[in-house]
Amino acid sequence: MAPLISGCIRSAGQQSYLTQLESKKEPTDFPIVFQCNDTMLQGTRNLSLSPLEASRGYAMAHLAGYLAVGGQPILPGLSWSRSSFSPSGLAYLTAFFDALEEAWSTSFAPDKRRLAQRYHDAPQRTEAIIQGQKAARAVTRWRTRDGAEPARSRIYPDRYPKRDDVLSWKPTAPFYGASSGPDINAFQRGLLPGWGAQDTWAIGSVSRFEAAPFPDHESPEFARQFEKVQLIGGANSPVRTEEQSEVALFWEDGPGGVTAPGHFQLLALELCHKQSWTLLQQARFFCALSIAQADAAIASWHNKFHHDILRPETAIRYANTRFRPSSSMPEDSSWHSYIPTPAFPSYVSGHSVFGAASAGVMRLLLGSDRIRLTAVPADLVNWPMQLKNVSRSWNSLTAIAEENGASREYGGVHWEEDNQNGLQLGFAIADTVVKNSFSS
Amino acid sequence: MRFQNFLTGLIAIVALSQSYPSFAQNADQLSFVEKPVAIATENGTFLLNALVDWQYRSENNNLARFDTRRLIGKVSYSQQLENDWDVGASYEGDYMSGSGENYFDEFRVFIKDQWGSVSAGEIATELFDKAGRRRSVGLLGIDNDSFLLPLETWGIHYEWSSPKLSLLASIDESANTELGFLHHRVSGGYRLGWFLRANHTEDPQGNAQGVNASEGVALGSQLERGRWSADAQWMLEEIDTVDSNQTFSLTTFSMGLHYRFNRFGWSFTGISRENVLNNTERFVSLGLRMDVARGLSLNAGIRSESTKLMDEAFRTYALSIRYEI
Repeated sequence: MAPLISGCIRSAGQQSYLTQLESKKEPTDFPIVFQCNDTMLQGTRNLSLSPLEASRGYAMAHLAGYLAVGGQPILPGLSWSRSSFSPSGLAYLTAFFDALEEAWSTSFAPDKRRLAQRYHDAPQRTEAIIQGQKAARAVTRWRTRDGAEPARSRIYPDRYPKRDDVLSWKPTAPFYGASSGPDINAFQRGLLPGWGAQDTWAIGSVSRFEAAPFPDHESPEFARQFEKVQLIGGANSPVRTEEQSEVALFWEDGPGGVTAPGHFQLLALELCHKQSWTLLQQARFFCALSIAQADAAIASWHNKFHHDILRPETAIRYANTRFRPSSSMPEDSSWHSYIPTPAFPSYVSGHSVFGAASAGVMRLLLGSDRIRLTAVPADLVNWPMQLKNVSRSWNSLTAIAEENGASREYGGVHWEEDNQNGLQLGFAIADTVVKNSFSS
Repeated sequence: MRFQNFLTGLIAIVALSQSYPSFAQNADQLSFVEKPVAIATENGTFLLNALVDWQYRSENNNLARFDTRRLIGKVSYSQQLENDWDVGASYEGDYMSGSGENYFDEFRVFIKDQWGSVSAGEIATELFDKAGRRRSVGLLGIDNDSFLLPLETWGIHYEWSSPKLSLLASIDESANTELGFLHHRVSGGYRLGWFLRANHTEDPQGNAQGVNASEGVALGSQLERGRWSADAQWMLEEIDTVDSNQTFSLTTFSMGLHYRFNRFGWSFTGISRENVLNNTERFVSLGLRMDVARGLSLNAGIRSESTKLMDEAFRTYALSIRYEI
């Protein structure tokens, strides 16, 4: 039987995420991979990044760090030859932050200086810095003009033609009911509609990861899913349990927080913390996780704008205008979802893809799905009232991914189809990333 | 009486929209606005943004009324270079008609990477926009708590930022300068920030208020929790005026409170400002924005100004319908 990995993330809302792992330990006492990751996650929150921009930065930083300490993932188009230089924390952090600075166009100079202090007397200091810089340059060169840059606009030429039937996505208010939630602009254009058309990292052509067509709007299956989300996802749902409401908010990871991929980076820190791994093994773990997340972002956004499916909010509030009036899909023009509907198409659920891709990579690299993990919310910033003193526990990585995916149905922002196919897609991405690039 | 009518109208808009959520048109009717307003080149993108605003304004209990139409258009281009730097340029034109016709335009270019960003062109307000209080929603917001003698139109702006800190500097064509500092972080359920601005500007001719030199410092803080945010700024400015050949030391305090939920945004702002006649001017405003559909919003605002020299507060009311693409 595979060993059981257990852990507990302690307190939410602190400056450093590492205090969530061990409150008695100073952040500076953690290994360098942890400190770099912690700084990056704090940066995600302070810069209010979208999950897409966040995931690209994670992948660039972790890949550069892994290369700098001797890693050699198989990634098509990446030009890098491993040197005989012995793995060094200074090389890792130099590569990590140089690449992250390029990805997010922001400076981490103060953090680099602070973290480099522990290597003040390290041997071969200059060589380590040069090694790190070279690795970061290799990654930056590889990803420059990968299609991410011109995609950074909410207005983008017809990479994905709009759907012209009743299922097409429209900007949402969003109308949501949970109190003390985040401040969100109304009726925004779709978030970064070009993101799905950029080059993938390790999975090859994104068209291989297209989800099956969404159910026809006149099918009994669509009617069933309509009824389900209207019932369970409404602001004042009579059927959603207290725990399901808590799950919806726990995984919401909306604007200004650590984001959905960042939330899984945080859980990965806890799982990695329980292993007696070398610097190279830690770097490999986070590199594989981050590349799967970056490909999850591209694949889910490709599906979102390729299928261009409306959100439950639009379907339920405008059912009589959209569909043939029917008793199985009653219009409710005052329906509010429980959590805010994000400003982009519904199918597939980005949360489900991010969660399954992350959990999938972790279970493959840990060699086991069985874990014992308790965690507090990643952030309190969006739901300060409801998430205070909340914690959740799981017994497997698959259970984490499934709970994260289901949270979007409980919140009333996704169809069941979005979640189920999103989970399937995420696990397929994880398998492909590990098999193609990290199997050796 | 007019004020009561205005308030009644405002309340009616809110009440109507809450009782009948579908009153706000089916978003489907505005689907054309989601279509791209951009052209892709091999490595860059041209974008077009526009705003049309039709505003009705009434001043001092209907003694004066204005019907203003405004059109703002912005064309921008940005591209990533081989070395990962981003470069771009933008042109913005602002046409206003109503009581006379006015046209303003603004041009700037920028280059950006992890070492910071440099903008050149018409950058006079760039630093204030970033290191200042949050802009009000609706109309008639009191966002004019900047230094009395601004930079000249043309200049260069530099900005360095890390996830927590930003340093900003602007210099205009006459070597006048503004410096700024921003710090923000998350703590528990709060997002906290503070900012600092300082200036040194001279204009021998004097501006419209007769100010020909200004040196000042502004210190502000911001707090966000969920849908609420609040900010406040204290500013001390020493000015010289063309007429009196005298230096005045003026203190300004301003604050704002903002709330946003679903389709509604509210803001309340207030300023208390000393002037050269040793009077205190007070401004308060209340703004409302209601989003109707993609790009379409209804806006309303009330502003009241009072000084010791005026017997009665000067009030302005405004309503507008605005469409942005």
